[in-house]
Amino acid sequence: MSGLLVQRVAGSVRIAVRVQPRSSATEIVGIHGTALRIRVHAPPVDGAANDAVIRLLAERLGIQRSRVRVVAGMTSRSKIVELRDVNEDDVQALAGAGSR
Amino acid sequence: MLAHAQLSRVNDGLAIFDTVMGALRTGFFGAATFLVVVCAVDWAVRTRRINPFGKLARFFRQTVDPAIMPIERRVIRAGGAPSTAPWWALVAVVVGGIIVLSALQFLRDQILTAALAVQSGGRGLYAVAVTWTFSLLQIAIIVRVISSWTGASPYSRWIRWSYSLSEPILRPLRAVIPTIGMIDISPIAAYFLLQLVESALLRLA
Repeated sequence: MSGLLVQRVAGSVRIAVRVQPRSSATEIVGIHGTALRIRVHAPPVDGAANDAVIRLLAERLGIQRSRVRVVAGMTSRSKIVELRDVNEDDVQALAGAGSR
Repeated sequence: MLAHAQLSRVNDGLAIFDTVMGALRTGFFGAATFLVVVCAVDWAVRTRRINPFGKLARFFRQTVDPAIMPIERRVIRAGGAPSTAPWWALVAVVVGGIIVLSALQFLRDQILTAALAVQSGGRGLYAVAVTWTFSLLQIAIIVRVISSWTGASPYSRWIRWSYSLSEPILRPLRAVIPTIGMIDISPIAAYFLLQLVESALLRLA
């Protein structure tokens, strides 16, 4: 079985994200283990890559950026992102849309 | 599986932890700023820039110097001037503070990762176990390589574990991979090999 690991936390959904900064494109690539694998063009400087991750996820889910928050791994490639008031199926679909 | 109540407790704990971390960060910064002044004055006293018989100098010799003594001993043993001890004390406190704060932050992130993994049962635990195991092995290789540059003894308390962990991987590789001149590239090969095996194992999750 393969798929994204999703944790429900009081109205929010948390997912593990694996980020590759300084990439040629900003996109969701698929699954890395149980985490969502994301490439971002931004460099990991001054939280630029974090911002890019938040913007990408908000855009793909069609929600405001304020509903996306990085809760762990601010300075790490492995992050945990919290998505507020979203449908879990939509989150699961994120991985499917960009997977190989 | 972790019960729902426990999960929400993890989150309440998270908020408290973040508040404490914020306070700690401010506290450390304040303490460091205060120490800059203390160390500057102590250095001025030691180098006779301040009248050594004055009240201030006597106060510093009485209270600050004994606190700096352990650092001073190390500085002298390493061949440094005792008057530079306050600056080394400042460096020790700042570096120590950064290490403590990063360690706490790291611990917090790992607990959150574990909480996320635990909720999904076997798959999540498997992924976390794989990630942690391989990170540990990679850290062991890095520690071993850097310690070999600094000339630290492989048998020292701080280094020995990295050799015990990395040797079973490196020994067979060393037999296969030729050295380039006098450089042994097996640690680099092992590092990338570990990454490959890790992502292959994660794909099974």
